[in-house]
Amino acid sequence: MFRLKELLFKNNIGASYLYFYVHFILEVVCYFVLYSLIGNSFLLWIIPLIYDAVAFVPQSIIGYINDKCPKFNMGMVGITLLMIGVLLFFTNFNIYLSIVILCLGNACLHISGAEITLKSSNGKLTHSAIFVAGGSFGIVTGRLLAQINLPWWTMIILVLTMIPFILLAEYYKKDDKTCLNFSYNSTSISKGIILISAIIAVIIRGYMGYGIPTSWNQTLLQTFFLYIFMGVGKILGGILADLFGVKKIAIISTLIGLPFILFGDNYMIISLIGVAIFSMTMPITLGVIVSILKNTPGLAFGLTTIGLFLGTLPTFFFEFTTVKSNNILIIVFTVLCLFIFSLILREDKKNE
Amino acid sequence: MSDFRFIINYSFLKQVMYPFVFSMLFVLIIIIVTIFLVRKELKKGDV
Repeated sequence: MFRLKELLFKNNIGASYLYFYVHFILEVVCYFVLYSLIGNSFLLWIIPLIYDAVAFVPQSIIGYINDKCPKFNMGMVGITLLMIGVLLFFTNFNIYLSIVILCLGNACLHISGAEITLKSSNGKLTHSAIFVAGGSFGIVTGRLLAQINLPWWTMIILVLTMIPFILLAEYYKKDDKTCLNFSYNSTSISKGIILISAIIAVIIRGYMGYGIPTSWNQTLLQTFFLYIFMGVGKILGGILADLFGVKKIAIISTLIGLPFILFGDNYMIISLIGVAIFSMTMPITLGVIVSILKNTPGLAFGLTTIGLFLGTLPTFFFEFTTVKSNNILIIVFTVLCLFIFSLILREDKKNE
Repeated sequence: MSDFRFIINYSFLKQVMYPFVFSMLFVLIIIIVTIFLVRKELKKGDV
């Protein structure tokens, strides 16, 4: 209990709570824009694809720039771009240009949050898990707000509320440390192989995020619960990995999550438990990639978002029509993830 | 019945060809640059 208290209230955790809010509002604004989109089926297909491509993929390069220029306030750049994107979108300027600017703002804010939470975490995973989880809550809230026809200018106000949080979080950046305390990787395997394996695990997680059978999910309220459990799972993953060890939690959560995911197709509670357990590996894959690229945490974070994009890309083109084939794929992917985690993660220390 | 189906077909893709090709090219270029940056960092090693 003492260690849990220490994890959640000490060790520069303030930056994570500040960026939890920033990430939450960021996704609220972006998903409000996406779900306000009206048009033909072509537009409704290509805009989310462009959104994923431009918001996720360039985070590696933006992260690298921020790694090399740590004094640069990427968060404020993100706010500015986000605001321009929202204004252009709702004043019916060119839709593609407004989405691209909005996405670049999204990417800058993600990198800003990742840099600060990773650098201030002293090698712990709880910090980045809290920051990342804010996004899950934001996605579903943005969708809800778009459906109740909230006026678009409220999004501008929401964007402005992020400014004090970003400025306050800058306080945690002053030490400008690298991430030398991250050492979750196995030392017996080459760093290149660990990186590729970890990215494959992220790609699988990205795909399975869409591939998990959820026939029960019919209403907005049920979607709300789905994303809430996703966010809770991410936070739990970080906390439990810090308390009990990354390898233990990665393997146990992957194993235990499988039956819940497979048999939860028609049962909301079972499925939600599966989704939460399944999301627990998120901070662990990030932690292992940062362990390899200790001097460039922004670049490391960007690699996970590239993995997520590559994982979601197939879902734009095809879908499984039978539960059986989908379940077989989930089992194969889970076994592959188990193999990857047992290969690339270092053995847990005794005191974890 | 086939186990999977394509959500889109070629005639659908043709309607959004330019933004689709540009976004995929963008992704490809960024991934190539990222691979280059990661290799550079791996060669450098730890501080």
